[in-house]
Amino acid sequence: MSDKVPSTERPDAFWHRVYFAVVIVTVFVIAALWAFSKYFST
Amino acid sequence: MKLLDWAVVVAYLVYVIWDGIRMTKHSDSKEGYFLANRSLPWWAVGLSVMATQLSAITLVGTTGQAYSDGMRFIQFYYGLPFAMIILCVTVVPFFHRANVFTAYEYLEKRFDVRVRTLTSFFFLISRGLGVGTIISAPSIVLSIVFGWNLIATIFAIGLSTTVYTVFGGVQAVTWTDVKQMIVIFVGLAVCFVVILWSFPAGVSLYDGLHLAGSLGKLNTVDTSFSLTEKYTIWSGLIGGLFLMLGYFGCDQSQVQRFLTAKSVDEGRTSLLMSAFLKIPMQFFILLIGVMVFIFYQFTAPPIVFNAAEVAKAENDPRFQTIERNFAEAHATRRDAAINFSEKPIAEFRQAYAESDRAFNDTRKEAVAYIKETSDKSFNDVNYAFPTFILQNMPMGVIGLLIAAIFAAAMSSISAELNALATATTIDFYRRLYAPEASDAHYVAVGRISTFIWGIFACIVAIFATNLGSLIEVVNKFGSFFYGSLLGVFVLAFVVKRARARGAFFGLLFGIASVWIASWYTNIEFLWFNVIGCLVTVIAGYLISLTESKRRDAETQSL
Repeated sequence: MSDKVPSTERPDAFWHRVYFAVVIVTVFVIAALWAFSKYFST
Repeated sequence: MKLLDWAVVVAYLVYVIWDGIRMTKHSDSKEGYFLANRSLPWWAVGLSVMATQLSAITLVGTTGQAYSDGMRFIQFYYGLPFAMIILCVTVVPFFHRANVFTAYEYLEKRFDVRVRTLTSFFFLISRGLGVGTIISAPSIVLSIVFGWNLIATIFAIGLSTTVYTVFGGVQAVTWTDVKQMIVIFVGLAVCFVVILWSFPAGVSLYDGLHLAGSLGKLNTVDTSFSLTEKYTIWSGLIGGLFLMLGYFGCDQSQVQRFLTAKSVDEGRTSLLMSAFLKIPMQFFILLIGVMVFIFYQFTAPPIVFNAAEVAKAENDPRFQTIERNFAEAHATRRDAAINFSEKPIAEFRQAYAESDRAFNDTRKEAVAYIKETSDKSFNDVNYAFPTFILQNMPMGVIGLLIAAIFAAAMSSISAELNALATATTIDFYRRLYAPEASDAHYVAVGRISTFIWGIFACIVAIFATNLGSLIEVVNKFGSFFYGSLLGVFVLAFVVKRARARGAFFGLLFGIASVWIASWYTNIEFLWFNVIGCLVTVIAGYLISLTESKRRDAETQSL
């Protein structure tokens, strides 16, 4: 198994912001796809 | 195919094999061969994660599906970003800090060797057969469309991948994946531009999208809730979430990708790359299929894309009548499409929709004829994109797109072979037969395992070509497995009271419940992952409770 010294990890608060960004971007992307299909179907 | 196309394909194959083999120098220890010394940057691991998931049949099948059925398939991926967040919080730090080689190794630390061996065994069976399918499916399509020898195509894809995976190990898999993703997306981008140039004068991309949209081909969100409907936003968000958790969190072919990352942070970032990029990437691939659909509004498509089936049927007067009706239906639809794109009024829209229905009816008649006279399981979807490439792309671009299809196949196969070899060597050989051997010994066993799995995959691929329904069975078996395996990991991570016996029998109950659901209900496969996971967790928890009570009773009697 690895005997490498573990590198410094970013704090949880940083990752919570990143996860929140992923959720927001995903909701935005799905909404944009919905708008795209609505726009071109009418 | 012209000489230039062959040159592009051969140049791609030679470069990839050379690039993979040169990684041999970094693969002389078991950490190096199986885990790249946990040294890879997030972007390389992230591209490798995406390349592993993007197989050739995904590339060819989804473009074909977009051509025939529109973009509904994209909903399959809506649960993926949420799955990635859950995995970043749980699995990535757990596995990294446990310093494991395989996902199943962790289960021995949490439960016992039986749970580890059973889960690893199911992985080997399902993936061993699955990798044969990954080779056979594109080989069948390419050999029919391009007239190549089927066995030679299987070995060209399977053996070339095996060669560099044997020597370079996981380093070769990851770094060739990076280059293969570049080949795939350069190929698709060039294809997109060429199709756009091929539209008739006066028809823009905007007009084309309106044509496709008016026929419902651009629908990306279906809010209806039905367990028997394959692609809805709910099956994607809920069923897809469970599938992606199972696939990225419990399947060794994906777990091994983020175990090679430098740190927990780099592992997380590599998965979040997919969370951000996967849906837009899949949108682009589906858009290529829609572009092919738009192209064929103005240029007559083949009545059926599988030319071999057309050749068998073309002398039959009944089929000739269908062909004549098809040609007339296409001419009517083309005129209606031009009218509608020039003047988008309700009357022309209605006429266009009706002409498309008539066109589809004649095509369905041709497919029904082939099913009746030749092949009951005939499905034309996978032939649409390769046939389009062969008939409409310029010299050089054909070669580039064939290289892209090869790249998609090889990127998945190499990761699977490497994962199969790792599970065989670490979970079985090292755990059960030779726990104290040297690094060089394990690397040698890993190389031999990779080679044997590569040959096995090619043999399965050859047999799978004659057993059409077997491919479906193998694919279903994968979905039987993911939900139940995810259930075992949920028991391991979340349920403190879970015991080894509960996890072991919970897994068997989970897989059995999915088999029953698949045989006796019409529930679509994405929901199998939810069923398998829930049954495994509930059964595993209840069995664990009985074990706890039994132990308590035994302790008291002492």
